Amino acid sequence: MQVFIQPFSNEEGLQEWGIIELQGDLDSKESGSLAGKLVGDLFYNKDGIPTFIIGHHILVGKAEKLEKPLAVLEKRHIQTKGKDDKTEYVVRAIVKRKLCFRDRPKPIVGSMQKVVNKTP
Amino acid sequence: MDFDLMEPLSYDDGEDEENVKSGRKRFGTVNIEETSRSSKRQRCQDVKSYKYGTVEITEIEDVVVEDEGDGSSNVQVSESDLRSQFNGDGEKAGTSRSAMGASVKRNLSMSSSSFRGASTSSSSTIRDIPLEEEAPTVRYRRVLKRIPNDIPYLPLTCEDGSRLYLRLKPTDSLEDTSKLGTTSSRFNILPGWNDIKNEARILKDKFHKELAKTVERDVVSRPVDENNENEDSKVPDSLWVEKYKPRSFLDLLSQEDVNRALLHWVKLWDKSVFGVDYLAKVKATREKYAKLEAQEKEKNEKYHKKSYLPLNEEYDEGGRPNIKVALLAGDPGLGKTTCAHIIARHAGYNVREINASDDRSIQAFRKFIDDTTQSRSEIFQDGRPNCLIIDEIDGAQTDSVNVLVELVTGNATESGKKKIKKVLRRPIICICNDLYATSLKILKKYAFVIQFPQIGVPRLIDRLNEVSDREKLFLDSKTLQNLCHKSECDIRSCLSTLQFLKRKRCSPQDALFAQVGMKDKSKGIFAVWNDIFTLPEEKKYHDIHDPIKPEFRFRNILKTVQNFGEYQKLMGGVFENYLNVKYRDSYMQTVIEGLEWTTWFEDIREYVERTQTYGMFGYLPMYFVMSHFLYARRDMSRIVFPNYELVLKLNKIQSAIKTQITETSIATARFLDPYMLITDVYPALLSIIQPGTIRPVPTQIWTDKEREILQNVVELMLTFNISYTQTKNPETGAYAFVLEPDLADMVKFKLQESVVSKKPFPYAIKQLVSREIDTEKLRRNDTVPDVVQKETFKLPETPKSNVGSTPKSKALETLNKTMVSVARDFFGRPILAAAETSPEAEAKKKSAAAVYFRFKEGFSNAVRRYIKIRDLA
Repeated sequence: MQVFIQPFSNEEGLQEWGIIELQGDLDSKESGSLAGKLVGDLFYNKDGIPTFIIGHHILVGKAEKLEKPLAVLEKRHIQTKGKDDKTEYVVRAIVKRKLCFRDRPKPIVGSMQKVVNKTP
Repeated sequence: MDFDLMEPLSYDDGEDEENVKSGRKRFGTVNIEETSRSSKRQRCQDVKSYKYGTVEITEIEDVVVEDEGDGSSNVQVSESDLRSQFNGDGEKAGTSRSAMGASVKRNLSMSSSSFRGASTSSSSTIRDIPLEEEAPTVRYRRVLKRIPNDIPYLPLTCEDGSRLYLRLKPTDSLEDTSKLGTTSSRFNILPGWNDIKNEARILKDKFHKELAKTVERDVVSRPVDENNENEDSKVPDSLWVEKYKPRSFLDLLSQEDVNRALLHWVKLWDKSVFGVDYLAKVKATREKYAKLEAQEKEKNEKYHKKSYLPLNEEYDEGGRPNIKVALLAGDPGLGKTTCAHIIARHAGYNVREINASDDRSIQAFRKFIDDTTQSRSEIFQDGRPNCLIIDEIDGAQTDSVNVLVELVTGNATESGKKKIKKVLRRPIICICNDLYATSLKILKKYAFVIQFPQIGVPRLIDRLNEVSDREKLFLDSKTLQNLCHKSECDIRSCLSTLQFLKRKRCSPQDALFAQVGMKDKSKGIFAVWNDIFTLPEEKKYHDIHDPIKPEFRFRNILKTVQNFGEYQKLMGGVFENYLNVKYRDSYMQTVIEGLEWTTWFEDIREYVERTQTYGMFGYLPMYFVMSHFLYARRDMSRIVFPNYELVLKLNKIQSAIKTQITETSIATARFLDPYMLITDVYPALLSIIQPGTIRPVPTQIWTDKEREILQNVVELMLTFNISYTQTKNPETGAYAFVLEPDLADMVKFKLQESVVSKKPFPYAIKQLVSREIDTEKLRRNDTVPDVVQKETFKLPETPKSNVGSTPKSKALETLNKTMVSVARDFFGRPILAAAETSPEAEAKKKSAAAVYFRFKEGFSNAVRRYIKIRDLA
């Protein structure tokens, strides 16, 4: 089967996405999918190391370049009259890098001593 | 006879007179104490008593003179008594002895009957004889009912068991004969008296000759002739200490009651060693003389005499005395070792001694003890059982002493496979100088402790006089007294000094004499305190070296204190004890002055330590000299060791408060200082944080007020960094919550005990408070980053924030508070969040809390799968 790939999805050109690779599960206390939920805060510290805070965990990872870039495709059905339905794939984005969080996350606990001193 | 004596008896009062009268009636046969079966045999062997020959006669006459009031009583001296007096002077004397005994008997009966007539005329006769006018007219008691303190005496036991003490006339053998000659003229009126006198003199001369011979025989390698001194110096002398060692029980210089106590204890062993029930005998005698005993006791109580009899006289199951070790303690040169040796021999034992010079490791020690007291073969060596004497036991290691303790307590076992308990079968006498040595701590509990008192100066002088006469030194009594005081009544050093003088041939006036005989002995701390607090003994002879004179007291104390050196320690003791002195001034001037001196001492010491000017250090001993002059009394109650407990507590509290301040939050700590904390804050805080208004009931039924109080308590405790810690009582196993730091201990003083905390704070509430503190701490940690929360938290909780605001706003706020009517949780804290949260924020918060991450261990490729795009599509 031939796959047609639309090289550009929109006017702005090809978007570059990234992968976040976690070693573990993301879970929710509420039932239902995770879709639309806030997972956590991702930021880079001043050394450029990606840091991800999920709930009470802080994850420190690193950015890696994928050996083979990946493309994110969107499948589209194109219905033309009299002809077979045509399926086309549109490249939504291309992925060249990923953020890898392999290490064990650290729990976030407030320091007791410091806090006591601050309260009058 | 003339009766000029050295000093009058101070207690010659009417009451005593009566005592003697009643005692006199009991006079029957006067028995010189015959203490043991073995002593007879022994006396036949060693003949060393030199002085009793003359004494005997004098004394018997004394008795007669005493007796003149009621001449009806018949005084007899039996033959055996005389033998014990003359101490076995060989075969020849044996016959003459009996003759003399008979003659004396004759003499006595005669004189007592004739005296009735003579007594009336004697006063007129005295006036006639010029010699007698020189004699003092005061009459002295010659027969004494209790042990005289400062006069030489000879103990006697009467037939009914009562003890009498005959005063010894100072022995001056050279004068004696002349006196006898002159004084006999006085008794010319008595028919037959001179005959008896002559007979007695002959006997005495004979006895002396015999005695001299035996003594000379005894003295090893010493040339008899004193005149050729050239030879004398060539031939090595035997030590005088050895030469003039007491040979029998009666020769002992140490106090009689001490000797008797030790002998009594040694004799308690008779039952197990010899099979003779000594105690039964003693008991029988005691029953017989129960009345007398009571009298004695009363007498002892009257004069505060210390009784040395062992308290526990019972035998144990093995027939041995319950107290199995005797411990003799006392300064060097009191004759402890000699006493122990003589008494052990006297009681029929073979003395085995272990000394400081011997090997005293544990093994050697154990072997020695086992050898002497356990093994059969040695027990009856040369026919006598062993008696073990451990000399200078305070120098032995604690472990070695413990071997002895084990043996004594019966815990020692044979080292072999069979665990047979070792039994101590022989008496052990330990001798030490320092009774308070650490190694003796345990032994003391099981031992019969005898403290040797100082030897009476007159007795010592008497003996020294005898020695000096015998050695042809001819020192006068004043010199000898000086010597005694210099050596602090140390017989050994006295004798050695005398020998030294003899060898160097220097006169007592020599400068050398001043140097020798001085004891270089540093005193223990208690002795120094004792010196400071007691006045020195007054001397009978008022010579230049009278220690009672202020300049000598001054010098003595200064020297003693300087020798000791540790001024601060000494000062602690002085400060501890000075209030126990019996003061006579009602205005406490002495105390005030003393305290001023104490302040002075502290000032100087502080100055010395601060500026390192040790030149000032030399002035410190003056404080003790002053203390001596202020506090010294004749009767100082027991000196107590200073109590360092309070000093330790002060240090502990100071350090505790210091750490406490550093650990509290800076916001609080900057207002605190230790002094304020301990005086103002903590006492009040203690009752605030343990309020009595919280009921120990389940928290559900608490009132709002109680909750508020608890909240306050927690708040306060957090502020001052006080918490509860759970501790387990090691004995009962019960848990308890203790304040950390322990405020009650810091704040409570002796007198305040009733003031602080009337009711103990219940355990349950303590537990609750403790838990609440922990959670509050955690909560604060959590809430601090959230600024909003903190502010809302602050609003209702800390009324402090209101202080600055105007009354109006204050009112507004309270209004707000009621209007808002924040939902409160269990402890009255407002439940947050509800009031000000917008829906978005809520959602955000919720979602933030919703997703969480669960880490999976392992390699990432372990969970990697290849997915074909085909499968996805």
